[in-house]
Amino acid sequence: MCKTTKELLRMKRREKIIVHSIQILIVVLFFIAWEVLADKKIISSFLFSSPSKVWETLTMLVSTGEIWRHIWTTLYETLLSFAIGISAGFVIAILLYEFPILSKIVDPFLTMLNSLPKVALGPMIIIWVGANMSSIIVMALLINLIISIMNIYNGFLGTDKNKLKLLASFGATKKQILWYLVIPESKRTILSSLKINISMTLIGVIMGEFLVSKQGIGYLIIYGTQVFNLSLVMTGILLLIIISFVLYQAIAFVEKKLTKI
Amino acid sequence: MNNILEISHLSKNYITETGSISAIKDITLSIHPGEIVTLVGTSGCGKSTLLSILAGIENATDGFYTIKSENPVIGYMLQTDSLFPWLTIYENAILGLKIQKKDTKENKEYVRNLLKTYKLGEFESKYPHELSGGMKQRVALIRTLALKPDILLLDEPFSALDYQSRLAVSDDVYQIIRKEGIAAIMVSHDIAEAISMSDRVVVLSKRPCTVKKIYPIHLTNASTPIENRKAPEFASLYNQIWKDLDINV
Repeated sequence: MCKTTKELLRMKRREKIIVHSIQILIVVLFFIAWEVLADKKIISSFLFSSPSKVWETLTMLVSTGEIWRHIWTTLYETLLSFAIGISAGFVIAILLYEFPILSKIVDPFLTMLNSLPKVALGPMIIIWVGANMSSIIVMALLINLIISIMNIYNGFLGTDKNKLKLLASFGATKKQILWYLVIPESKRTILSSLKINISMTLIGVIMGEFLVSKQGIGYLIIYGTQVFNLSLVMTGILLLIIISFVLYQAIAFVEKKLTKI
Repeated sequence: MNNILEISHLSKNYITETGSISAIKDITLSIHPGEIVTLVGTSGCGKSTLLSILAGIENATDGFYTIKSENPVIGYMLQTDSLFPWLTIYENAILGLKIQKKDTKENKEYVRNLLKTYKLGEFESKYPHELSGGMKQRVALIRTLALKPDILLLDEPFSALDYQSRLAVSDDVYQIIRKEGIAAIMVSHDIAEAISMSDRVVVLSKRPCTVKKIYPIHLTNASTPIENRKAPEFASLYNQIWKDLDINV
């Protein structure tokens, strides 16, 4: 390695360290400012809570062991809806790809459903499905399924025309074209759609928990609001940020592992 | 002479909302065994369509073609190598066999030997992105040869390569086709390439595509395509074909 390359690498590493330290600094400063402002009564700690109060709430939730129940519920609902959404989206996308007439028929409906704010259907879902976890799953599916279908289907449509021609010249059947070409080639698109999907699913689950639930992070937040315990609300939001970050990173990790040839 | 392929009054019309467009009109052509015939024509004329029809991807509107073989197999090579990046070189080479469910031990051994013969043996388990453009094109040809075709259809097989590899690869491909003794129809818009590689050059007219003229190529001291470009007849043939193509820029 020559000197300039070494120099360049060192500069890149230094830049990375600077970026990370500033990011951490921003978070730390945010919490300090929040704490100080609440402590000096510049902002009302009743309305805005404070880091120390959030910490108190958090330790209380951990000590009673209640926290795990809520995290687990939200996580379970999210992963279940995610799995159903992706599998169903995959199957439906295959159907749309194999039967172009079908895709032409459902296209306007998909677009309409996609632009509809799904939360508007919430109350109806509760009446139809019942005030239980199923309603939450349905809510999450409404949000992630359409996106899954559209992403995967568009991935299929992007299949290289030359490769399709090649398989046609081999006399490949529709099924063979799908398994040998269309699906493997859309692997990247499908995997990158998982990241969007997990965020969408979490939105759906929390929305569902707002509407109907007895446990879960969404329940913690809505319960905290109802009893005006803003520290509980803040704790819930904090947990949610952590959960969504971890889920996103996990999917990104899986994606990276699988896209490596 | 017994012809391997007979094309008889072949026509193709495309029907659109505004009417019918005639892409190919009344093409009659015979191909002898082991012969390389190149179709030249301006871009946009129906030469690729003709190959698609022969490859069985599209249907002709009128006319027919017959391949003189008990079980006719057609090998089709496209402009791009179209190798699947997620498959190894060997897996790519046997793709056609797998799809036609002919991946017997014997045929697989045949492909292994082809790869070895054409200097790709040690790359068997590599992936396409690890190979040069010319090598990939060779793999694409072997993938086609694996099916033991009676006739090869080459649709501008070198157009995706840069000029230098194009010359080298056309030499390679030429020698492989000659060695395997397979008749080939190639489509090209490169007159020099056509003259240097073929036994006959067929000049096609503009849309609708018809046979305008056929040039038998007999070069003095004919050898490889690169060497053939030095033949004394080369320049005059080039000029004649250029005139026939009637390209107005």
